[in-house]
Amino acid sequence: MTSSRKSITFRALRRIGVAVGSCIFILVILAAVFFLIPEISIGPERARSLIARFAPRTVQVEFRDLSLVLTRPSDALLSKHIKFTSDDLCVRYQGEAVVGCFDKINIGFTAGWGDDRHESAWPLPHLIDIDPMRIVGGEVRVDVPKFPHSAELSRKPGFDWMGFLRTEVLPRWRLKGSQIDVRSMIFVLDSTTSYRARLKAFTDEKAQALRVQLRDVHSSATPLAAQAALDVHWPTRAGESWKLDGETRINISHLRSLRINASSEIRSWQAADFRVLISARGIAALKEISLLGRLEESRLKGQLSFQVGALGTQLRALDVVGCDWLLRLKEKTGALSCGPETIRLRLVERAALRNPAFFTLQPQMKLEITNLNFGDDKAADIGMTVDLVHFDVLRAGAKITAHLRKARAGAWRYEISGGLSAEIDRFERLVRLMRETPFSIPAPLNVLKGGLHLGSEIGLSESGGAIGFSAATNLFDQTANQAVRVRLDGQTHLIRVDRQLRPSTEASLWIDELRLSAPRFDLRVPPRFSPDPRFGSFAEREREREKPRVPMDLKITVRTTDPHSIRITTNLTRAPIPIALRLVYDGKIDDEKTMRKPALTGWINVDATPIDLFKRNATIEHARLELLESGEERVSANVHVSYLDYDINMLLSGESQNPQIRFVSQPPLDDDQVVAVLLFGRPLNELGDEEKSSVRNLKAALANAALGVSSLYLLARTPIESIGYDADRSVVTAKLGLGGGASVEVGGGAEGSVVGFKKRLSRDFVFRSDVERLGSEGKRTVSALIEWLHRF
Amino acid sequence: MRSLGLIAVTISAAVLCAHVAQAALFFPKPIIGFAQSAEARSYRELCPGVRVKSMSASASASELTPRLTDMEVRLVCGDPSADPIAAPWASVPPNQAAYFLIGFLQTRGYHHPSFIQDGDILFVDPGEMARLAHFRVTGGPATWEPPKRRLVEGQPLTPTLLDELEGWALGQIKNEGYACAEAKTRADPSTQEVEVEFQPGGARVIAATQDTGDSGLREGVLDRYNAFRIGDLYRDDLIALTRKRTQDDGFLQTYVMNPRCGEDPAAVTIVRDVVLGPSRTVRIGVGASTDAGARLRGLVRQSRIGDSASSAQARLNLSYLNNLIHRQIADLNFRWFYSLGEPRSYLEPSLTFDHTGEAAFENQSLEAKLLHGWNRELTDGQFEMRVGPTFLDSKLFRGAGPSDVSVTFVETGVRWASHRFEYFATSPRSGESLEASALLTLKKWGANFTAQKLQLQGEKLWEVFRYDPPLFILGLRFNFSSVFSPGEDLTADLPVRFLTFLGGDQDLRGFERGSLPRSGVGALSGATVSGEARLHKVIWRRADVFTFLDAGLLGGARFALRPPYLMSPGVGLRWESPIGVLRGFIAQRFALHESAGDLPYGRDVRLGFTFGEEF
Repeated sequence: MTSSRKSITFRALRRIGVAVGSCIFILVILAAVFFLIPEISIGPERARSLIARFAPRTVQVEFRDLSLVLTRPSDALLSKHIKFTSDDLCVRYQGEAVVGCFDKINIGFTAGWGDDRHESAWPLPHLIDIDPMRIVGGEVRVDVPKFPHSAELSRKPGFDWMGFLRTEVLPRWRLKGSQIDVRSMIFVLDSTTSYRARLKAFTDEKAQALRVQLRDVHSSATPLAAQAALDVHWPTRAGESWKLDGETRINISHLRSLRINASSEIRSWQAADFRVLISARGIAALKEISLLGRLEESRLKGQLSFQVGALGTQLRALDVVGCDWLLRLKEKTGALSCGPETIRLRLVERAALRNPAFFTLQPQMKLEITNLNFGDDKAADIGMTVDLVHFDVLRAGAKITAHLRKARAGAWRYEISGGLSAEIDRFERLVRLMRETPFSIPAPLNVLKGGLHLGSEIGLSESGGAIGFSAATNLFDQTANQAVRVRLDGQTHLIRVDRQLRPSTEASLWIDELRLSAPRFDLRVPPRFSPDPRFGSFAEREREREKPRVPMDLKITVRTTDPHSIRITTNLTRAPIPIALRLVYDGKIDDEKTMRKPALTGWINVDATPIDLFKRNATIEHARLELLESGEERVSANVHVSYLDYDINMLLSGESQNPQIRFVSQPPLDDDQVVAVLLFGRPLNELGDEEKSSVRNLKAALANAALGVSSLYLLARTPIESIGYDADRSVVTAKLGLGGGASVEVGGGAEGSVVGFKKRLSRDFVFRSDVERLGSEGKRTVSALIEWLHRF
Repeated sequence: MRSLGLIAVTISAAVLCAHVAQAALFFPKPIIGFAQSAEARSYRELCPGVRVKSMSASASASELTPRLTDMEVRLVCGDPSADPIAAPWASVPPNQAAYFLIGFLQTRGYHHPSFIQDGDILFVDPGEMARLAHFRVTGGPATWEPPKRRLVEGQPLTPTLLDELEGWALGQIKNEGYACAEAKTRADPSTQEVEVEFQPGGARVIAATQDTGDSGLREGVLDRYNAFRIGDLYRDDLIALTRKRTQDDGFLQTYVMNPRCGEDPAAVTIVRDVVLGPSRTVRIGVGASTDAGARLRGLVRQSRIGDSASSAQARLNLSYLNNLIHRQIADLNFRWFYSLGEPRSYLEPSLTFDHTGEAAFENQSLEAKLLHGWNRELTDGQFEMRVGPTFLDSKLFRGAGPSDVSVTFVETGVRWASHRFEYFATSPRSGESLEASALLTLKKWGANFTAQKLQLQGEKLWEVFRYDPPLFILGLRFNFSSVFSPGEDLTADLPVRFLTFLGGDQDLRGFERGSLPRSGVGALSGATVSGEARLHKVIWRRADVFTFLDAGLLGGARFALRPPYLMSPGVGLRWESPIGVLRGFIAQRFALHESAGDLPYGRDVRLGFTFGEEF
């Protein structure tokens, strides 16, 4: 049994060995025949048969005539020259997804072993030489929607066609004599968007160049029109470089276009110079980009310049000239560096300026991008310093560093830090420079001189950060009657909430000294300084209401450092008003739709201020306004008026909208007497009828809250002959003792009600319309009379 | 800050901080060389730095439209004063001037000004004045629609107009019980729309009244004038009516009533604050009408007598048209409120001297009354009843009737007047009143005859369409009186007070005052009906036009009215002038169904003019 098994095994092995040996022998014989036969020719019928047998089902090939001829070059035993010619060839891939039809195709190349230039001459066969190519009269259509889903491009790494083209095809292609003319290339993206172009490539013997032209590029969806031309100059003698000149014009619309000029000199695949100039019209603010570069080994370096036009409402132009850049292609790292004198910033001129150059800023700027990595893991370290000295008015500086990182599968991570500072040390010069421009410094600040300083510190990352800011002013006028010395210190924290950064700002403003003059005020006709917010476009308000808001917190504290820090000079008082305050503004937007009503809390104190009241020297002993968290505003004040026989205090208290006014005198007097003394300087029993009536009217108006404090102040400041009070309209009429019978109406209230008809002619005379019953029969009548009225 | 009211603090802080900062952020449009352009010639110089576009090439600075106040000019052009305070404001740059001008122009209805800056010169084009085109009220209760506001379209769109419209709208909803409603007003100058949006809250009832301060009045005295009851739905007009009652009565000088919205969302408390003022009032007035001629009225009233705040008054009324028509009335009365609660009861003795000359008669009477009255406030109006004995001594100097008669009778009457009728009494537009009265005599009980004079009169007004001010008002009034006596013809015995005369502004406007019956003998019965239709403020937005038809019947026996029908159609104009209501009318008189044997009434026209009198 054992010997028979061994015998069977041996026989089997012997038969396999014979079969393999026979196969190898046959293959060697076939190879010998293949290489030794000088010419192998395949005609159209054989080609159809082979295509039908071996071509994938997704590919369909039709032709009128086709010929494939393999010949053995005379000088190379182990290579073949393959020549492919065809007439009216159509290739379809995936049905009609890709269709290419050509009138004539003539392609030839030599492949095999034996090219010394090739590094891997053995063991695989390779391209040795490519003949001038001739493809004429073709039409190519790529219809993306017709690709079946399963035919979507695989993202798996496959054969490197571009590498093959770059390293195998282009170096061996004999361009001279080549001709490609594809009449129509159509690329359909979807049912509405398609692109059409004509591709033409031919050799210009005189210019020693292959001219590639992409003509009549049009889009079905947009008014896009483009032309591109590329001249490839081949070296005419050894040691010469390849030269590429290209120009592309793209009209995106009738207002937007792009022109790209590029040239390159390629000494080898590792050494080349290139220059790209992009001119843009109507594409954002971009005007021109210039890129000069040189490739040495795997280092690509050069200079970048660009011009940007109007950006926003204030920037007219930004010019950046000659930033150095470097890319290390193998390491996929790089750097960018913009040195001094590289940046020029032009602001929009607003009207005539004595020196228009004021609007051109030329900061000394240095920008460096180091540790640039643009491989799978991306990174850059950016450093920027800016120094600006402008017209000996503004000195500004900024230093910012940023570290950007992105892992292959991760999100961008960044860290930004830096500081900004600006200083104006001659404010008066700024005022002069800004005169006659819409940026003029407003009164009364335009009489100030001195300096101010602004600064900011930044520390940001993708998870949040903080921006600190500070400011300080030291402004004053020649007479030292005006001064603004304030300090601002604050910080904005950016806190990541979900996917958004929520800013939270907290700032403190310290008022060390604020001495300013108010305009001369006329209380009789107070003007409306700012527009009434009730007026505005309804549609715009609606849009504003719908606009999503960035959630944020804002808290600003304003405080004085001294009880007399603020001193306002006004014609309404005999001396500047000393004011101290502490106000906290707390605003918060909780989400995109709801905004909490900002709260203003704190207090304002007015210290002792001498004023003229009731024809006497009076003093505001103190006044205080408290803004409570509940939204209530409470006022308290004490105004002291001194007479020979009396000391009178006018006390205000309660809600600021409707304060209670009380009179306290020493020695004690009742209210009628106090008002009499205040208005006319004498007690009630020494007054005439008209004066007594004025006293009562004023008292009634005060009781009726018809007089605001400012109206009372107006009356107290002005010599009064008489006061009338119309309770129906809540209007106080004061006849002023200024001569000419001038009178003024103060107080509020609705226009005359229809309840009763009463028109006051003077203090005692009225037109009155009323209902009465007359006579013994008591007949009801409505009548109007001019009436003298007196109460006693 | 805006409500600080602390004298210059408000002004200074607001000016210096807010507006200066905002002004610094406002930029006029810069056009270099604009000052030399042809267009610049249409601008007139307000001051060297500001030029305003003028419609008229010849307009001087003082004629520029819109005109600015002195202070506004200072803020726009700079303050040239030598005052050191003014020095920092001597130079106001164009951007700041433009910013200030936005507010100044807005107060005058100019919302789209444009500003051009050429160097340090500001060119201001105020643009077109915006005028109100559409006004709407939103956010009110679902089932409520406010009346349509009239006579505001076309008015300059100013902050003052917004205040007025907001006040009007609030007044409307507060008359519906929403005492604590709030309103927000906004305006779009481009579309010239104004919208008042309500936050009405809930309807509230008057839960209580609360007095502040010490008026010295006894508790409950003020309630006498209330046009509302505790538990009634709050209405703003009732509060105003209450206040009007106190002041017309001369009861007090100032009466402030404010609704206080407490925690209870369905209730409101009326807080009352009183300035009593002097308790004595003297009023002397003069007036005139074509019906009564010149009028003089004098009145002295003492209010707030005693704890119950009773009142006494002496009154003198004189009128004179001609030798025939004139009247002198002097009366004294004292109204003693002996009860403070509801019903409001009082006892009123009075003495009246009345000398009346009419076309038909001249009579002099002295009348002494002691009336007891009470009135009660109902939800929609007031009901009043009076009753008491009256002694009348009447002497006839001219005309038919007894030359001297003394009679004692019982006088009684009831009256209902709606609040709206009372509220609009001096500018009638809606509401109704109804009054029934009787004079009752019994022979041998103070009189030598038995007669009862019954009278029923009333008035009703309708506002057709819901407009405010109203557009179309319809009115109807009637008066019926008759003397009832068991089977006797008493004409010869009755004093004038019991008889009926017609004609004049009060009933038949086409006939002369008191000219009917033509016999000069007062009728025992009479009835008039008048209808009036009035279009309100349709002439230049100020004057009314009205048409009327008065009709009357007389009768010589009790409850007997006989033809002819006395007719008086007419048309007229009415103007609520600044000094009172002036009415002028033209009326034709004629009679229908005249008896063949009687002297025909014929047709004639009468012109009438009244001052203050209404339908």
